[in-house]
Amino acid sequence: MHRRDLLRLLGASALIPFVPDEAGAAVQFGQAAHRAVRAGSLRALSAEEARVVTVVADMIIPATDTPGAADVDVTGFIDHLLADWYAADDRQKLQAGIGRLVAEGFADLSEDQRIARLTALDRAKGEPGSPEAAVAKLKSLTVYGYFTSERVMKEVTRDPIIPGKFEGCVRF
Amino acid sequence: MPPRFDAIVIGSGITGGFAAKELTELGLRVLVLEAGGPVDPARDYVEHVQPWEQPFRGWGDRARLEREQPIQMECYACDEWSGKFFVNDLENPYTTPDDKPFSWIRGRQVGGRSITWGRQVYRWSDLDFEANARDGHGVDWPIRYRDIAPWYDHVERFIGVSGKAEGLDQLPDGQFLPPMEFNCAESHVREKLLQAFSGERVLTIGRCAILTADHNGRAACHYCGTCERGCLTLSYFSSLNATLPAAAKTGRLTLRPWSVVESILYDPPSRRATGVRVIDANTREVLEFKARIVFLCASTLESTRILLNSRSRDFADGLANSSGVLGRYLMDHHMGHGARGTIPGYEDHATYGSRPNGIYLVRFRNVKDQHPDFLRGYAFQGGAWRSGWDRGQEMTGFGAAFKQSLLREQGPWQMSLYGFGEMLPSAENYAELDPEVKDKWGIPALRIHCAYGDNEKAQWKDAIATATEMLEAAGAKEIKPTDNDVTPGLVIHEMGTARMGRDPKTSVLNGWNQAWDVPNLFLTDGACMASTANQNPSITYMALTARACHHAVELMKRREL
Repeated sequence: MHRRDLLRLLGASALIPFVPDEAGAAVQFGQAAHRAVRAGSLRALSAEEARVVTVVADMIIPATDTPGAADVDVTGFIDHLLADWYAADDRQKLQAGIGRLVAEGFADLSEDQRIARLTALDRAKGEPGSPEAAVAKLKSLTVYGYFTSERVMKEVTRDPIIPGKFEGCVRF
Repeated sequence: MPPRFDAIVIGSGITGGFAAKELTELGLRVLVLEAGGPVDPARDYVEHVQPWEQPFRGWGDRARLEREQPIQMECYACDEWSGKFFVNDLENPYTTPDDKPFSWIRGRQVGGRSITWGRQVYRWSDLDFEANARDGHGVDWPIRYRDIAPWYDHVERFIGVSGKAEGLDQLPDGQFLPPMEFNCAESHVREKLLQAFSGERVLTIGRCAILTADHNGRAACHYCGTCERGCLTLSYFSSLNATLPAAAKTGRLTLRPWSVVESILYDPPSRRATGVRVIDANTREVLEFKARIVFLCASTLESTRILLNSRSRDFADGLANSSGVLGRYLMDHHMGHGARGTIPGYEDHATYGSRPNGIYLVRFRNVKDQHPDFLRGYAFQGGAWRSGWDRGQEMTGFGAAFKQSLLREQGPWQMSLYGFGEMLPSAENYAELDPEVKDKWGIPALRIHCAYGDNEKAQWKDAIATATEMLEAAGAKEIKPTDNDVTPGLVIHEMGTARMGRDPKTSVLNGWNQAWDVPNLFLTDGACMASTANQNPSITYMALTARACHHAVELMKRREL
């Protein structure tokens, strides 16, 4: 956040002694990591697994009058977590469940078939490694990845970084 | 050649910063020694950095955390943004018996844990100061509320505290800036409880060290909600944001980071501390600094560790330990017991802005009547909220309608009451130097023995019961108990081990936080506490610090030190 943006939002210049000119090393690394992902370098998911993940994510949060999950590269975010964050056995179980979706040809079903199949998987509980468990995890990761993406935060939800006030009981 | 410094303050956290401010403002040249490194707000304050700007979107580098901060990551405040303000567990080991786990959550940088603290501030009353004398656990406090009240005023006026006066004897009102607002559900619950329990159970807004109006050159809070990550507008209190700058302004402050205090130097003929031995954290050079007085403010366990490691012929068991109680009577609060439920109604209303503060349900147990099952008391923190998009992570459904629901609607109001309670002092809870393990700088680590007892367990049971009955009285539905087994230490209110008292045979410090055995040594962090009460303790530590500083300077003026 640049100094002039911060000052404009806060509306008072006198009381802010420390303002970073740049977001700092952590932000730069974060931006680089996301750029690498967007450049198409999948590191955990195979191409077929990525395709299924993208299809599922897009069904969970489709493009409407606002972007969908596929528009904000939720698949890249999930791949990044699988490659760099998940512990080995949790990663293995989630990819096994995704693999089951690949094996059943989920991405190549007709739209009606996909909706019916996803509905059934979404409503059921499954053991780790099952397609039901994978769908549950993908739901959680898709929602998180979508709502914390730059484009959605800036263009869709647009919660102010600096609200300026707290009101406890306002009409929706 | 006279020493360069009149006073040395060990530690730059919430009490060290206050000692630096008071002593420099009273005219002393002060050296503050901080074991960790400096913090540069322009680089290190990241409260406005967005999740998409973080390498792990806010999930943190799990592999690194598990390797280097496996204990610190147990703390709610140690996340991808603020984890850097917590210690490296590998460099700072400690041990415990296998059957008595203790989670020691620490910072080690200029500012200490005042950067990441919860900012909740509640005064003690004589119900708390008299507790040890009344039921015989621990030793009698050498002070009462009237001794500390002016210092609570002094501290609150400087740091800025937001809160609502409630006129309750067991929770004295303070010098308050305007209170933050309740949300709809909280207002509802407050009113229902006042009716249902005849005014005996009061839900108030959290009293917090966060500005709701501009104050002493710091700006009012703008409700971004992420204080632990830093605060460029200086809106919440930390030593970095307020007391260290005030000390620096006098021109009499010298702050030396990367200074690991190995021991306090003692001169037997004069019975005085003469200074401090330091290991430079980076170069390992050993240095000594001299001063007329020493204020030990390194945090509860670190201060006692320094005293235990300052052995000499006169003090074989640790400096200032003729009583033998140094290290003993370690306590923490307990937490994790209460209830949550759904509050029907107010579906058309929501909040605006992120309030960095919750509610406080004031202690009502053992205030007027004596409960048959346990001594002393507990209070609740918590609050109400509506879930936004995050509820979609566990919700059935998908597609356009699912998406719309997450964008346009919120979940029902939910309310949580989360108990925080007093732990009795016991000699069986203590810290000692580990005979083998050392830290990165070769200083003996601590071995910590601490476990909750029967009185705490009885409080847990009661807190679940009363939270449940209060949510029922408020009309809540789907009420579920909160019943978490929390390891001691995780409340991060560890206290005791160098307690104040009336008798040098059973305490380390007198009523002025002055070591009985070493009159120019003062200790004012949590180690000094003779009991815990149930209130968040930092404001009491700060008040004791300010009071002790003024007394120390008075003694210096009278040439007694």
